[in-house]
Amino acid sequence: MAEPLLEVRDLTVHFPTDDGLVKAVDGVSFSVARGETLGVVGESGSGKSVTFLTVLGLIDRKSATVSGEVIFQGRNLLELSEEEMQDVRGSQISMIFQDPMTSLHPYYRVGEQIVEAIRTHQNLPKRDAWQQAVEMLRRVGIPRPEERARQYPHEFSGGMRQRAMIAMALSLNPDLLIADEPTTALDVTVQAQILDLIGRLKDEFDASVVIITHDLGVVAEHADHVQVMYAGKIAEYGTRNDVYYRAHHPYTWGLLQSITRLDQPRQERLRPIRGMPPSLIFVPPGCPFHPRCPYVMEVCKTEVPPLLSEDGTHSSACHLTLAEKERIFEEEVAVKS
Amino acid sequence: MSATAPVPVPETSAEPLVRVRGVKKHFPITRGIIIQRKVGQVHAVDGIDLDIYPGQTVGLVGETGCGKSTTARLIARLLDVTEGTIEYEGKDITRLSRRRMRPLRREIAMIFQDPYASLNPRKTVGSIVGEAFQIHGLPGGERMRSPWVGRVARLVAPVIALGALVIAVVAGFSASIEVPLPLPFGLLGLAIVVEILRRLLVLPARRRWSRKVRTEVQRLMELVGLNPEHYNRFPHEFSGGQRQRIGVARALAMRPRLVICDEPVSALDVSIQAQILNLLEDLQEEFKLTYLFIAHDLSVVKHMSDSVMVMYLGRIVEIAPGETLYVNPKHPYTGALLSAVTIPDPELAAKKRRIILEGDVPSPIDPPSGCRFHPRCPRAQFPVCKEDDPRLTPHHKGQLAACHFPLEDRAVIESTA
Repeated sequence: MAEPLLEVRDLTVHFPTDDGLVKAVDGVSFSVARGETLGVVGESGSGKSVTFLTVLGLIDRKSATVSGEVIFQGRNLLELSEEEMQDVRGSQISMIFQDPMTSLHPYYRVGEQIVEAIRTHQNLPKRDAWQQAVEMLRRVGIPRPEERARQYPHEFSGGMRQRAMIAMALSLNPDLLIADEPTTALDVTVQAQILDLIGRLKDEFDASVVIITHDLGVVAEHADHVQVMYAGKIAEYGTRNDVYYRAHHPYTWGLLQSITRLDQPRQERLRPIRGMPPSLIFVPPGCPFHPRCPYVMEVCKTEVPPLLSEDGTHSSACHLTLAEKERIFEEEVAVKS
Repeated sequence: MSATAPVPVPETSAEPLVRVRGVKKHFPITRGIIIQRKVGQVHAVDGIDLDIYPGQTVGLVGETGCGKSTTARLIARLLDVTEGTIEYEGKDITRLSRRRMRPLRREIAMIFQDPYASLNPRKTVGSIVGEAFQIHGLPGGERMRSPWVGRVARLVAPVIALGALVIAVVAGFSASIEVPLPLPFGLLGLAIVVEILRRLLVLPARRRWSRKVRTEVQRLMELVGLNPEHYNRFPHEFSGGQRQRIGVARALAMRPRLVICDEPVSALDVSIQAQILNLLEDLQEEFKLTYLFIAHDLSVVKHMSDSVMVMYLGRIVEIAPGETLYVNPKHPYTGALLSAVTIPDPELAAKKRRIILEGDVPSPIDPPSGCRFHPRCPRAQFPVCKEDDPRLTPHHKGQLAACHFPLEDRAVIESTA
C-alpha cells in the first residue's frame, strides 16, 4: 500500500473545564489513503468532529491539550505554526460543515466569498478569481452560475448553499476534503444529490474525502472504509463490506439495528441501543461502551479493549472473541432476506 | 378539486376521527408599511382531503416547504383554513371560536421537531409538563379551586388599598377636609392583613393541588422513561433524546386521542431515534392513540404508519400502505423520494434504480400549472402534464396516486426484501 495521504497517530484532545477534563478524543489512530473515501460514524459527542477539527488546526490550542501526531504528506501538522497551517487549510485540506446557512457570510455575495478563498491562497487578479469562482459554481451543478455568483446566501436554497460550500472548498483543488455532516440539515432528495456530487467531484479532483455522519446509511454507498467512533475512541474500523456485513463491535451492531430500514418489512420493534452516550468527563472505566452493551463481561468493566486487527484492515475494540463476534452477528444482527 | 376523493378506508371501518375535505391555506404576501397591498399568496396547502381513523397512524412525508407542517397546524386549529372543512368526530371544527375550541384542545396534542426550541428554558420540567393541568384541570376533571375564598376574596385587599390611596390623595390636595392621619395608614395595614390571611387560608388547597399535579407529572415522566426525581430540573440539563421525552410527556398530559407528531425524531441521533419511535409505539398501544406522523424521512414514516401520504407543493400526490409504497410506488415523486432514502446495505443500495431529481422544489407562490411535479418529472409528457391537473386514482389495494403516467410495478427496487 502506498504512503497514506493523512496519518493520525495516537491523537488525544482533552479540554480542561471547570467541571473536569473533557476527553473529547482519546488515543485515535487511523489513516486516509490517496483517492479514498473514509466514512466516520458516531453519535453526537463521540469525538468525530473534534478529531478532524484538530487535523485542520481549528482547535484553540490554548484551551485544549493536544498530543499525538497528524502526518499529512510527510509533515506533522500539529507542529506547524499558525501561518503555515493557513497555507495548508483551504489549499490542501478543506472542510464543509453541517449547516450551510451559518457557514456562509450573509453580508457578502456568494461569488465574493469564493473569490476571497481563492485570493487568500493564489495571487490572482480579481477578475480571474471571479471567473474561477463562476466556473466552480458551474461544476457543482448550480444553474446560471454567472447570475448566482452575484446573489446573497439567503437567495439560495439549502441544497444550493451546500453546493456553494462545496464549490468554495474545492476551488483550491485540495488533496483532502472533510465533510462534517454535509447532508444532515438537508432533505433526502437533496441529500442524495449532494452525496452523488461529492462522490463525482472526488474523482474529478482526484481528492480523498472524509464524510462524518451519525447515520450509517449515508456512507453505505460512498465510503471505501468506515470508522465507527464512540466516546472519543475508535470502536471499529474496516472496509465498507466488513462493517456492514461482518461488523464486530456491539456498538456497530446497535447502530445497524436501530436504523429504520425501508428495505425491511415493517418490524414489530426497533432495537435501539439502551441508555445514552456517556459524559466525556466521566468516561466509564474499561470499555467505554460497557454500560450500554448487551454482551458485557466482567473484563469489560476494568480493562480497556485495544483496537485489534483480525485480518490487517478490519479491526475492533472489543473483548469478545472473534468466533463469538461472528456468531452473534450472524444470529442476531445480520439481516435475513 | 375539493370533490370528495375516494380515500381508502381500513377494514375496521369506523367513523374517521378526523376528516379533512378540500382544505386550502394561503398566506398573503403584502407590500407597504401602512397601506398594505396584497401582492401574492403562498399556496402552502392547496386542496387536500384526508381521513384519520381512530387507532391508526397516518404518515405524511414530503420535502421542506411542501405544506406538511401547515397541514398539521390546520388540523390542530393552530392556523385557520382559507377554504375547506375539518371535521373532528363528525363535528365541523373549521370555524369554532377559541372558547368553543378549548375543550377540544385536550383531545388533540402535538409533539414538535426541535426539542431545544420547543421547551421554555426558564421553566422546570415539572411546570412544562404540568402547564396543561393549570389550564384544563387534571385529567379526572379536578381543578385548582380554593374551597370558599373565591375571586371576590382576591379583590378585597386591592380595593381596601386603593381606598387608602384615594383618601390620602384627597387629603393631600384639599385643605378643607380634615382626615385623621391614622385612617389611610390603618386601611393600608388592614389590606395587608386581609391579603396575608387570604393567602394563609388558600395555602392548604394550593399545596394539595400542587401535590396532585406533581404526582400526575411524575407519573407521566415515568411513563415516557424519565427519572421522576428530575421534576425540578431545567431543559438544558437534559440530552436531546430526553428533551424529546419531555415533549412527549407534555403532549400526553391531557390524555389526548389524536397526537400530531411533527418530525419528532429528525433532530436526534439514529440510536436515540429508535428509542423515541419505540416509545411512541408503546404509548399508542397503551392509550389507543391515533397519530398523524410527519417526517421527511420515508423509512421512519413507513416504519410507523399504517398508511403513508406523500405531499408535494401543497398537494397529496400519493396515498398507500407503507409496504405498497415501498414495492410499487406509482407517482414518480414517490419513486424519487424512495430512491433517495439511504439504505445501510451497500449492495442493496447499489442495486437501487436511482431517480435523481434535478433542481429544487418550485416556489409555492406561483406553483406550476397542471401537475405540479411536471417541471422536475422524468416521465412528464407535454402538453398533458402541463395542462391537465391529475386526480388521485386508485391503483393497488388502498393505493391512490395523482399521475397521468404512473410508474410500473417495482420500478425502483427489484426485490422485495
